[in-house]
Amino acid sequence: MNNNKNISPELENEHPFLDRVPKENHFNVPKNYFEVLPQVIQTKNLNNSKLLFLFDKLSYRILILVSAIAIALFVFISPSNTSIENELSSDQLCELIVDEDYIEFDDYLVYETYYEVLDEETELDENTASEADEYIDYLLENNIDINAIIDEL
Amino acid sequence: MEHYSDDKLLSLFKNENSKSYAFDLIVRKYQERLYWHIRRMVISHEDADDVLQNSLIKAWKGLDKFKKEAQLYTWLYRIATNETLTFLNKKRKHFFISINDVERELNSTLETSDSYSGDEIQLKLQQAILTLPEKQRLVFNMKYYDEMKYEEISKILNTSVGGLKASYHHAVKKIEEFVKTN
Repeated sequence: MNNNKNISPELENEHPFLDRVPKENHFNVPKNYFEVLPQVIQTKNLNNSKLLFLFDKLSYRILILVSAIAIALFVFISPSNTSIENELSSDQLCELIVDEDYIEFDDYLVYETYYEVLDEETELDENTASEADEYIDYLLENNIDINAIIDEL
Repeated sequence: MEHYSDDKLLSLFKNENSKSYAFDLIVRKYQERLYWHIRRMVISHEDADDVLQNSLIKAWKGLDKFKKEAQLYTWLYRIATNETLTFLNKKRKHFFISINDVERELNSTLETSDSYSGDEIQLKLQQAILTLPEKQRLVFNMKYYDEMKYEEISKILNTSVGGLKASYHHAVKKIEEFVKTN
C-alpha cells in the first residue's frame, strides 16, 4: 500500500517529516487471515442465531413455566411469615409478657417517658389547690357566708 | 468473488435465503479496511482480530435495522470505531492504568512485536501517532492512511468538519514536534 503520491499539498510544504515517510503498511498479518475470517464470522453468527432461535421458540416458554412453578413453590412451601404473636390470643399474649419477661423494659426509658406526664399532673394539682385557697380567702375578706351560697345553689 | 454494490448486498441480506451469503460478501468486501482501521489503534493483531470479530458480529445482529440514510461502510466504520474505543477503555479500566500507560503498552507492543516490520523512520511515525489522544489518533489515521474525506469522517465520528480539521492539524503538528525532539 503505497499512497505517497496522494499526500495532500499542505503536508508537503508544512510537514517535512510526514512528506518524507512513505505511507507503507508495515504491520504483519498471519497468513490467510483474510481468507479464513469470513468463515469464522459466519460460524459465530450461525451459532448465535441458533442460540437466539432456541431461546425465542423453546426456552422462552420453558422459562415462563419454570418461573411460575418457582413462584408457586415459594408461596406454598416457604416458611410462614406469621409470628408467634399473631397466633396467640390477647390473654395468652398478656400472660407471655408478664410471665416470660417477653418484653424487657429499660427502667430509665420508662422514667424518661412518664416523667413529663407526671410533672404536668403535679403542676395541675398544685394549680387547682391554689385556686381553691384564693376563692376561700376572697369569701372571708368580703365576709360572705359559704353556706348561704351553697343553699342558693 | 462477485462484486456487488452495497444496495445489492443489502437487498440480498433482506432475503432470508441469501442472508448468510450476503453477509459473507459484506465481510469480504470491508474486512481489510476495517481491520487496518482497528489495527492502527490497538496495534496487536490478536486484539485487532477480537475487536474486528466483535464489530462484525454486531453488524450481523444490527444489519436488519440498518437504514439506508447512511452508507454501509460508514455504518460499519462507526461500529468498528466504537468497538475499538470500548476495547481501549476496558483495557484501561481492567488494568487500572492511565491513558499514558496504555500508550506505553501499545508502544512496547509495537517495538517488541514480530508483527511490525517497519524501518526506523516508520517506527518513529507510529510512536509519534501513539502519543496522540485517542480521538486525534483516529482522525489522523482516517485522514492520513485511509485518505477519507472530512465529510466521511464527520459522519463516522459524529464530529463537525471544522473540529476534525483542527484535530488533524494538531495531530500533524504534534507528530512533527515528536520527531524533532526524539
